[in-house]
Amino acid sequence: MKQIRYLLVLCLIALHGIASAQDLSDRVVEHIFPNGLKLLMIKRDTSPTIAPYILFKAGSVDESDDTRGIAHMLEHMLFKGTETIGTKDYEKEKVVLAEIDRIGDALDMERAKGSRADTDKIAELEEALKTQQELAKEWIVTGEYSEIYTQHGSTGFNAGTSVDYTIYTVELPSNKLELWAILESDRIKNAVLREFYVEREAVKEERRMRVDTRPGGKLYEQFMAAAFTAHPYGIPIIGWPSDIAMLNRRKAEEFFRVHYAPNNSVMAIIGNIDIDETIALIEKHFGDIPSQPLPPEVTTEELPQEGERRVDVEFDAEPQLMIGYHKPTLPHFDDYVLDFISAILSDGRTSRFYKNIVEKGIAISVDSLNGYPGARYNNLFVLDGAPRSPHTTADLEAAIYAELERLKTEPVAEKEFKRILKQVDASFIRGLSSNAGMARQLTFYEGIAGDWRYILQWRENIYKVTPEDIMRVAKTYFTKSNRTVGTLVKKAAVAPAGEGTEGSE
Amino acid sequence: MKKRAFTGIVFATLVACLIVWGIPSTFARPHEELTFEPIEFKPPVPEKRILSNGMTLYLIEDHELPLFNISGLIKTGDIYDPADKVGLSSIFASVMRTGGTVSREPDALNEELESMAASVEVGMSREYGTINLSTLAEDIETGLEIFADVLRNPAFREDKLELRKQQSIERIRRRNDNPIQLAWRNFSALLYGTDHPFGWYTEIEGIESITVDDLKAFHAKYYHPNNLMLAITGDFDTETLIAQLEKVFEGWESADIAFPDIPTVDPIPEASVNYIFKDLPQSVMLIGHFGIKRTPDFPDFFALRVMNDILGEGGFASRLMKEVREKHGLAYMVGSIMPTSYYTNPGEWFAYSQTRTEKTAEAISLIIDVVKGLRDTPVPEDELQRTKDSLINSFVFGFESSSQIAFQQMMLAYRGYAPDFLETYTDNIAKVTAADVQAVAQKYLHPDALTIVTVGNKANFDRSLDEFGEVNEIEIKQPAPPPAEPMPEASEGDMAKAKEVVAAAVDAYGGLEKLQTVKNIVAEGRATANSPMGPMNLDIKEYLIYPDKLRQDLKMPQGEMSYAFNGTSGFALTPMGTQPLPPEMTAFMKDDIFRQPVWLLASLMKDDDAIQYAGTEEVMGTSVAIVLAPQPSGEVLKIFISEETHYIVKMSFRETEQGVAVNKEVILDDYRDVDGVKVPHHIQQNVEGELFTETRLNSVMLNAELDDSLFQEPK
Repeated sequence: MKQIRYLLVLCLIALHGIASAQDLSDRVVEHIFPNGLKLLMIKRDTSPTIAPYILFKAGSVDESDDTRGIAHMLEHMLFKGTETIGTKDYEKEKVVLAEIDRIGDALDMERAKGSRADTDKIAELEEALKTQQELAKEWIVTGEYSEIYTQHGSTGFNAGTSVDYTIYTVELPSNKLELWAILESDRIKNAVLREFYVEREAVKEERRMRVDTRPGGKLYEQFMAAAFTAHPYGIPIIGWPSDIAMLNRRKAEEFFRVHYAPNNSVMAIIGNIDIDETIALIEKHFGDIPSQPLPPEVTTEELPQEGERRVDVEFDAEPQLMIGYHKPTLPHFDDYVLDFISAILSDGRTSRFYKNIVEKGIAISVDSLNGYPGARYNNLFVLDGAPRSPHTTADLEAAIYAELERLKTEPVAEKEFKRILKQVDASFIRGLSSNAGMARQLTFYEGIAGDWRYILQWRENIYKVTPEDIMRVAKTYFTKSNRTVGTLVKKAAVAPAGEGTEGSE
Repeated sequence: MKKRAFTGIVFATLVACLIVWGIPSTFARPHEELTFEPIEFKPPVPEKRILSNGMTLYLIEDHELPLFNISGLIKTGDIYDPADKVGLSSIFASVMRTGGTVSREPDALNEELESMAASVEVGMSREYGTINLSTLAEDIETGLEIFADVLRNPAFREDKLELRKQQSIERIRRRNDNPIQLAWRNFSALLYGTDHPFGWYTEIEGIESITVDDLKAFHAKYYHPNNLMLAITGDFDTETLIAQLEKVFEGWESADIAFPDIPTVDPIPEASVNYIFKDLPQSVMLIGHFGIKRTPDFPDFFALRVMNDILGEGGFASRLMKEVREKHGLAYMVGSIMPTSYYTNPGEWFAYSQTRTEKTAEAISLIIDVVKGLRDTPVPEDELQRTKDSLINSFVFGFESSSQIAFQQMMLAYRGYAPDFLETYTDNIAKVTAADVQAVAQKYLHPDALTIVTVGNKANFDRSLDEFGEVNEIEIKQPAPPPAEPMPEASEGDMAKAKEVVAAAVDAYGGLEKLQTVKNIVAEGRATANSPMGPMNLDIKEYLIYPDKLRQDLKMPQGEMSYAFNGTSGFALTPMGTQPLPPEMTAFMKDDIFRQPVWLLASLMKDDDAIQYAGTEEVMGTSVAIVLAPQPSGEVLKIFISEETHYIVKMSFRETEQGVAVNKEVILDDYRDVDGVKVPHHIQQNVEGELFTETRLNSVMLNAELDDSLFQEPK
């Protein structure tokens, strides 16, 4: 399904507030089931609708070398149905699926030999796979799982995989809560990852669409790969093409078994609900899913960067720029300071980037983002933009550095401080006006920061930031040796022969 | 097979009471045993009010959160762009906000809004314009005052227009980067032609021609209270608010607006197969034809809605998604869009897919087959029911927030929907039959007359696109820079006077004979450049060799850099390596050499039939004569020669950098004698009227011994 790539900029800035901080802590109801499943609820009766979201703390960082791309692939596969949905007779289907796995494995192994592969054997296996896939069609009801949701009036039915987690989202009329509980618990208990090899092709198309045909996607991937040499944050969520080609049902099932545990997930249900009934309903359908020991967190640490890294990506497109500085993730105090800095640099028309770069005509866009590509581990403060011709990426880079230098030496004025704090509080209130928005925020902070109350602490910490903190943090992280610079360069046109050669006949 | 879960949300009365209900089904699977408790829901109904100046309001008080929002709708749109200034209305919308108001400078406006965490934004669509306000409830009064100020008194400041034009031009330069954007632009243009508002797109020339007066005229024409509707929601009291609105809009009079006629197309589809080369591993394909223009009485709307959901707008349950993606793995993104809300023209109906190059033709034929299927065979009853249930059950999501409800009401009124459209919506969907769906498919879908646009690399296509029809290959060019400004027509008198002025200057510089002995010039000095990060000092050494070689060595804080041009090609030496100079830059260098006063005057003396006299002017306190001469690039050089000293004190010219014309000036003074030739030692360069570099020379040598290696690219 459509993954939310490149970490959803769950804008921190889109939450929090004086007036409503208290309100929020009063309104969120928290319930932990014996199996470790955590449920967060807000009752909101503005319309008869609900936003139930589930987040699993299982992202691409949790993959191993031979399963890169499996978190995202699994997310796609979990829309293929269960033992009773998407099939006419699972017992009979099962036999064919096993045969498809066997042939598919053999085919992948043979193809992986590259130039030494036996092409006849490949053709034979492809034929055999096709035959079995045709046989399976007798039992498979394509798309049934999605159809049920659609028929019942779902909106925003989707899922997203990030480096840190996978999230399953939907909104429904509020009388469909139990339907949701049945369908979701059924997929956790009885998912059948059918139609695997066809979906693998769709995932390859997704990669082509997001990365290979998109200048910004291509730059992002290469930039991240350069910025992280040890930590898996440098590996694309969707996987490298050669990794996707080796994914199979067995690997997906294993990842599913290990990571999709109730004690590794957070559920949020926001909207027109009855709190007690909701708890009972979730207990009824999810309560019997056993908790299990969880795999360790990623232990690989990125070494301190000891010198600027520069990467060029040639593409048939106009230039773009990305700059990233390594920094600690939440809840380190400097992470709050960097959130503040990001607001100073690029929030709105009073921001420094807008006034000093965009309005000067140096770039058509320039942005700052704290916390890429994820937030479970130490991450990057990223600056990106597109220069306006005749300005080059070098001009834009210089202009960005000038602003970063200013942060180191000039204390931020009180007026700027006040404006940002007011915006922090206002966007907190605005964030409360959407069921889906709240569901996303709560699952994210509970899952990634370990406690949804991070939202409240965030505001408190932002208020603690001083002009001195900003200067100190800017000096600490915005150094040349700590940065990676990625530039999208227009592919040089092939010059017609004879042109530009000097002195030849 | 499954049984349908018959659930529905029904609009009962005009008070809009939604009831969600359901009956149990008899099947064994747990989700099919559910019954759904009916829900009664009375969504708030916007109150419609008309202000004394004719402005229509849709109001909903909503005290859940201390917020306040206005969404305004203006009857205007991109369709009213003049044909030779396409892009005017969207630039207008942007500068209406960024240009500040008569009494508020842009920076002050931004500061005022953002310091109260409020926003005012102006937008433009094909058939309407928007203006929105969002504030906290505590700031309603100030918010309204600013909102009204932007609406009534936008200042359209010149510099903000200029900036926005530059940004538009940059976007034009970037418009071929994204294959979807590339395909879409060509698709609309193929259907409507580039002289129709639905088919045209911005070009640099049109953008450059837009003036402040154009924006003011656009504002004066469409922005009147009687042409504006506001949807207002949030934490306010209606009567207080009405009084506040009357006050901020006091004296703003309604006016008659003569809307220009918008040409309407005759939507007879014609088959055409089009191909655009882009070397990517995946093709983008748009397949479709004219869409549907809505009429006030539009009975086919509901069957069409159902049909297109089945076809490709119904997400994962739609046929295109199931066939192309889920069964064949030929795409990640696939679907179809059917606009049914345009009121001036039928818009575009299309199916889209992004598919690996090696399966391009296969995907196109699969899509066409799916389209044909809807015409040829009635939709099975269960699929029809599922789709209708989906539309009916999800209808409630149009009523999630008061701002959404008020905006929807306003929009329906704007577009001329029947007053009972919402109340009867679910009933009308429920009534749609398989025969209705097939009938609208046959009436509105024309798989035999499709416009196909494919962006990709045909060298790797599975089959030639010929099978779909004769292929029209569209060549995409990077937008060309605007042509050089021609020399004005001149009288003989002007030319004679020009010769006279130049001759006097040649004498002042040391005489023609002396000037002609100068074969090279080597100058050294120190320059201050106004870089984006502030003033930057650099040491500069320049070598000029008659007639066409130039080298500059620059020492900057961040390293050394050199440019060299040998008359044909050039290179740049940077800390990051050696790069060839793009042709654009070498063209600038040719002009630069041409402008060297010593050689410029000598060449103007020799080739004097191309120069013209253009009167006198006052420059920096002295009277100057102006002479015009064409540069090697074709751009006109304006030379300002002092009538007192006969030195060149200023030159102005235009350079076109990657499609953008930039006005530059060179100011020369501190003339000193070097071996009997007068050479300026203080050189100032302005770009668009602002100081860009200032150079002071500390040594100038004529006819120095020079090494050829200066112009050889290091291996």
